[in-house]
Amino acid sequence: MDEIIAVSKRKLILLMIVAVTVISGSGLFSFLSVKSGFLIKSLIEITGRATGLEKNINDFFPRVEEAKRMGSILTNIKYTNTLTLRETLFRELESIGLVVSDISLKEKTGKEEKNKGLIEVNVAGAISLEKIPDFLKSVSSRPKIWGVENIDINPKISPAELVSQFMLLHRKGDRRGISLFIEQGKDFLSKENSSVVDLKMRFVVVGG
Amino acid sequence: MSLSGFFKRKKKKEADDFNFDDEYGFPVETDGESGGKNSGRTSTISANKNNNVPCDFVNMVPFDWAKPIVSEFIGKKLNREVFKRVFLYLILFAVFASAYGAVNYFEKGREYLLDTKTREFGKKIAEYEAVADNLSVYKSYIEIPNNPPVYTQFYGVSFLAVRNGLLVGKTSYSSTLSGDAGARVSRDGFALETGKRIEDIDIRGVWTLTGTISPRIGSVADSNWSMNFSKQVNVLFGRLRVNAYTRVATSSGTGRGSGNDSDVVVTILLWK
Repeated sequence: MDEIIAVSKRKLILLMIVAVTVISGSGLFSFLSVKSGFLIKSLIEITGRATGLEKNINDFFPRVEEAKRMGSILTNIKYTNTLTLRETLFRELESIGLVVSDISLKEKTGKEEKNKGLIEVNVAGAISLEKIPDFLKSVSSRPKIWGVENIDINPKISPAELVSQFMLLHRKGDRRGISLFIEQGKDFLSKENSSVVDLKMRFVVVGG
Repeated sequence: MSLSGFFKRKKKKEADDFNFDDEYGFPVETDGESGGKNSGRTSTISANKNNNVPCDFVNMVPFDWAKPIVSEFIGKKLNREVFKRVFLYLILFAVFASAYGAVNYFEKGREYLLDTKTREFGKKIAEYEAVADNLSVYKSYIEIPNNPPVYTQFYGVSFLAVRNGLLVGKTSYSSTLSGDAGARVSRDGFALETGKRIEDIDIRGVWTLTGTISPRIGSVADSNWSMNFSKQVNVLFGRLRVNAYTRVATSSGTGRGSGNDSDVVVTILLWK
């Protein structure tokens, strides 16, 4: 009898263990399920908001595409190869009439983001007086960006100074001086370089 | 064999062979006797069998004999009950586990969906950020070219010089107000005339024309000529929506020392 009771007890204990395990497990699963339920609720809310955000992002997309397109166009304004920039600028300036004697390049400094990639170019050269308007026209309409910071146009022989000097002599009534001045003036004007002006220019280009 | 079957068979056996007590010589209770004294009379048993001992005929079977059957019966019954409940519990467990699994699967699915979307957003936003960065750089590039273009400014200035009889010798252009030009433009005078500080304006160009007044005009840059020139500069550049501030200094004022009153330095400040 005791053995039967013992066996029964064992089975009942097994049953109890199983029951406890199942109840605990079920409780755990229920707890986890409820917890996951709250998480799912939050996830659904976030996903809903994300959908709205996605819509906003997608609405913004055409503008970004436009900006990209503009960027690709603006990329063409850059001098991509800075190693040959000096030679390139030399050729470009010569092609628009400036006889270049010196070009110096300097990276534009400054903490500002807007100075990023900017190169300051100092040019010294000579150009015929008649070519100055065309030269400035060409400078203003470069296919690549040029920001002119400084130009000094200084004639080797200034007609204005000649006139000024002549008027001064005339005002003084210095006939001898006037005739001498006229002779010298003829010599000056007959020289080939009489209409050549020195030109110094500083401008900014965008390097790659 | 079940327990009920066992008892049925026992009852049948009892009916068939009621006086087995005699045969096996088990103690029998008799009237007036107590304490288990065996008289060997079966008739007294049937008369008293239900008085004190319930189901006394079962007691007559040694338990050792019934033990395997009872044990088997109880074992089976118990097993059935236990396994039935265990099975139910397992089903319950499986239901909860399945529910959790389903919820977890759904949760993972949502998480994956959100992750995918977040990754996608991150990628797009990074792309947009790069574009925005580039845009700010492009914007700074757009500000580099002179506005109005240098040629346009030069053309206007030259036109006015020719029109007003100014024979220009040296010409300078600067995008900022500095050096000699900066010294010639009176900051106080500018603020008084325009109502703005030089620091607050957007300078579009500073032109310095050094030359002499043509004899046809009168060879003297008097105040009339200066005012007239300044007005024309304002009108001309006003068409480009650019303001102009003009200063005319004679050679005596500039210290050039040429001794000629017709020599002038004209400084034109173009601003917005």
